Amino acid sequence: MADPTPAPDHRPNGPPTGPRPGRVEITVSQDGKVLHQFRADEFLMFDDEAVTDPAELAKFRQPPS
Amino acid sequence: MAANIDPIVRHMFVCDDLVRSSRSPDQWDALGVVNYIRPAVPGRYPVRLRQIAVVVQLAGGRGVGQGYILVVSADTEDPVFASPVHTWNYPPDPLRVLPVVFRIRECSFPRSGLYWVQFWHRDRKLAEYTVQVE
Repeated sequence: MADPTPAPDHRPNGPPTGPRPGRVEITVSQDGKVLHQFRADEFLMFDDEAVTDPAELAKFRQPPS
Repeated sequence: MAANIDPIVRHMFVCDDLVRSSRSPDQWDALGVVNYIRPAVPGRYPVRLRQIAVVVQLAGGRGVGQGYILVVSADTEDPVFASPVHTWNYPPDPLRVLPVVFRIRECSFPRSGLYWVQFWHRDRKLAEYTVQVE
């Protein structure tokens, strides 16, 4: 029988990334003062290492604004 | 099949990270909004950051979204680093706001100057934010 206890998450950036359904609220504050507060029903988070390879970056340059 | 329609960007900002709030599991706090970056040792470049988080709040998108973050030197117009391209589905109700957070690790700014942090969506630049490296 599988252990029902989830393994602790030791990653420095917290839980897995990707779609996060459910109501969320994002608070931006500075020196204890709330600057902005955003509420939404869905929340996407992507977590990646920066793309720095010149050949890969060159592909990003092509689209005109 | 529904057409894909680009969203509008309601807000965009760069911060150190978003973390779950101790107040509620549904609440997230944006830490350390980034406008200026100073090298740890004055005059020493490149400036390396363990991570930045780029937050864009999207509304009005339909169908499938596809986007990425591109950081460009304003002086040279050279791309410095980028996030990978990601794909997502928009909520059925286009009026709903969809926050999208790009956490980008191991960021390196080669020299002092102004940098554009750009949000691209299906080959269109929809928004940009400036960061000054001092």
